[in-house]
Amino acid sequence: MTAYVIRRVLHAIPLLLGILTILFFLVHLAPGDPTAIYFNPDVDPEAIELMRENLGLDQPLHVQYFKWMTSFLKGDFGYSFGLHRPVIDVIKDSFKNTAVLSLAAIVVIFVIGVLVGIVSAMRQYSFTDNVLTFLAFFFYSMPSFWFGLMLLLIFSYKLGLFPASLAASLDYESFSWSGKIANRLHHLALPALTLGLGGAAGVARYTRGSLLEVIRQDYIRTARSKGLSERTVIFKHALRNALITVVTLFGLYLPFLFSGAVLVETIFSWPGMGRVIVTAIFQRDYPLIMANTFVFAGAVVLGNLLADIIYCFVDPRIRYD
Amino acid sequence: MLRDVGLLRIVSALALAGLMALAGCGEKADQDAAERQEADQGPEDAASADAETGAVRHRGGTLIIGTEADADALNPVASSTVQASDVYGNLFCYLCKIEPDMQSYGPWMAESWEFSDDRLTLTFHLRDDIYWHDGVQMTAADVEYSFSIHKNPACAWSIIRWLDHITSVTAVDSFTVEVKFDEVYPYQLTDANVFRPLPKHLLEHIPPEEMRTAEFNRNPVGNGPFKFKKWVPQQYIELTANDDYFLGRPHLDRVIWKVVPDRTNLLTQLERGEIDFYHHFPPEAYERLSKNPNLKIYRFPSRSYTYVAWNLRNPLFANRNVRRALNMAINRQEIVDQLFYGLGKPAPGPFLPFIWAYDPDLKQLPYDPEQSKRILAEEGWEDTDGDGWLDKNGLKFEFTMKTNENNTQRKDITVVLQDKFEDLGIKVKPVYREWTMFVSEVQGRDFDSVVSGWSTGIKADLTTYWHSKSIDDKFNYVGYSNPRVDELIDLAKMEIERDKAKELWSEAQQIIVDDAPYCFLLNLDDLNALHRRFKNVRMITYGWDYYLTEWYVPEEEIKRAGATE
Repeated sequence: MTAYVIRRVLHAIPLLLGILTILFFLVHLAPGDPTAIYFNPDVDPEAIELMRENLGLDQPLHVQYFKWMTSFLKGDFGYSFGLHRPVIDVIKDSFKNTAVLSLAAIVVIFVIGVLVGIVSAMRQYSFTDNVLTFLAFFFYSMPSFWFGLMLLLIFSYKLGLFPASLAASLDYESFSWSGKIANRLHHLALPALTLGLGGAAGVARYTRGSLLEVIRQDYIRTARSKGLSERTVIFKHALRNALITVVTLFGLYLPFLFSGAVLVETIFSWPGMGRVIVTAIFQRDYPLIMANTFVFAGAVVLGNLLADIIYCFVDPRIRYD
Repeated sequence: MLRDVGLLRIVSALALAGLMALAGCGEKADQDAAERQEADQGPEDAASADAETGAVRHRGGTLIIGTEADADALNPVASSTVQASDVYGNLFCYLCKIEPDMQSYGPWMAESWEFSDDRLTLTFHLRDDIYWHDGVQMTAADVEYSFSIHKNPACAWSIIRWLDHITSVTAVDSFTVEVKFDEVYPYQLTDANVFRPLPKHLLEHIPPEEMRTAEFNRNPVGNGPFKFKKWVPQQYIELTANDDYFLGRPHLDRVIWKVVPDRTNLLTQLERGEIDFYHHFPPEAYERLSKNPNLKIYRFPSRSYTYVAWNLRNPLFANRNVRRALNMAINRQEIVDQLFYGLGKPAPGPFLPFIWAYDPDLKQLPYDPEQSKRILAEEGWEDTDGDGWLDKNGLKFEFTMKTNENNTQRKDITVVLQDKFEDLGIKVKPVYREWTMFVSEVQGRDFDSVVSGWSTGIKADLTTYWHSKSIDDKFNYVGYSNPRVDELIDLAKMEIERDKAKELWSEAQQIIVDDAPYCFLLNLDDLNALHRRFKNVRMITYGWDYYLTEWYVPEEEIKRAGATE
């Protein structure tokens, strides 16, 4: 197992470097220039040339590439063109927030998804099942930005139940520790639901389908005939097998979460990486684009690896040696 | 992903429309007039409030400003964003304060100043009671140092050009500064006052090329009415009142810029009181916001204008008469009224009314599609093959109209113009480009016509846009050249006497309007919505925060701490 994980991680290195290399040339060759934001007659053209020089943009592309790669391998991401800060600081701030949001969304996806899936499967073709199925399709087919705006309009604008933006209140520091947690959760609720509900709907369908299949298996009949309670049959015997398919989704949802975060973070002013990367792309803030992509790509690779490892635990038949 | 963001904007707009529907927009027209009147009354109303309260000092209150993007660096020499200058404008002061007329100056950090007899030396006398927020006294040495870093090319200060004619700034003694010029020209005082003095003791050890990334920029120490308190990146920036401000403590306790990148969200928060102020809100929200009893709208002419530029290098637009005919086919008032709810005026020409050089008697080309048809026919543009489009020598009259993708207003304009020109038999194809691409294509002269805008400064100057010596530079990208205009610009720029300069500028702007290299479309109003609990508020074209230190909140309306979201 350890050997497998190490092998996978080693495999990931050339993959990530490849992604970064392709991306480097892609963003630099794309039309546009980071100094385009200085499209203002008061700005001195020589000042712009100097800025380009300061940013290293006056050098040939391959030189820029090797320079970037060398410092990247040393762990130095450079300075953001647009924010004038070390890229690593920008990532540190924003990654934390995106991670919190994604984790919350994962909880929404898997907890709500699996529970709804079980209820649906247990009461197949009942009224409850039909309603849940309808809702699942509804949420599944709904684009997250639209859903986010609707939540915003209803729960923030009309009802005033949730704050419309930011990860915490402006007076957050003055709160007690329990107040801080409550405040965080309060701010987290709408974005996490927006980001998670679509996925939860998918998970619910998968869980339902897979559970229905498992329930027809002989060993379930055996378990039932042994006189085990329905609860034990479902949670101990059926669910564990049914969840194997669902675990696969974990690896798939991670990139989906990150790309969804771009939109959700903008709508809810969530100070995460999604927003940072959108701004960075529009401003051609190359160092920031590169670093962000590295983190995204790393997270996707890691997510897939995690999914494979979780397999081992839910399905003893799978062994990596 | 980029496409999705575009989609997001569309959906935001739809949601916004939905929101407006929710809020119920019934009796439109008659209320509209009444509201506009009320909005226009803003300043007078505020003045009376001031008189009522007299000498009573109002202390306290927090102003939360919603902003669509975060600042880059809170240091005037290092920053290049409006978001940042909005904030640091309250941290750092100038030597002189520009008056609301935007042409004369009053004392600020300098008590007085005078020119030498040859007008080549300008001496400022500084106040001796100004302290940086860390307690160190500000002296002439700070001014001398600040000039040297702003002038240092390695800092790449974006408007370094304004210092071209200043040869030195010297501290004569602790509170006297001498500025030397290499020639005499009208804007000497303006140029000497273009940089904000920064604290030497905190910056002198930073190499100029590292100024952009200095730690100071995220933790600035100024000497203005507000002090820096906190910056949570991508979330908010907080300033607090400076008790020791040399002109007296501002009334408000705190000013916070809260970053909310989504407009629908910004409007939601404004209406719910999660933010107090939305600077420069979109015209489509005007009607709804002006109906909100908690909000007051402040509306005044902006310093920018939108135009259509014709590429004079393109044979289609090389002909002056053709350009004039095209401009006459554009109903600018109708665009203001229909696309922008009447919240603005047609732009008069290269100068906007706020600047002294603007000539109110400027003659405009009339809106006259019939005459435009006639002129085009005289120039040989007729529909000879009966396909509905004008043609000449077998060439159809068609061209592209480029603008930047993220600007819905400009995109709407291209659609309206497409429609207008179709009536004349001219085929217009709107083309939308993402901003950086748009800029590089315009710079590469790769366009037929462009819808774009300029934000105009406080100096009367047409060199960068209209002088033929700028023809290969960035801003005269249409390729405009008229020897008489060159001559007028050169003369007017050096004319010390305002009245004479005014005459020269009048002639220049009339020629430019007549030559029709642009169609000067609109000068939209700057729309600002503020919660009504703020009193004694005045805003002017120079800047919404010009009088910020005077704003106050009556004691009974100050929100409890913690109630602010």
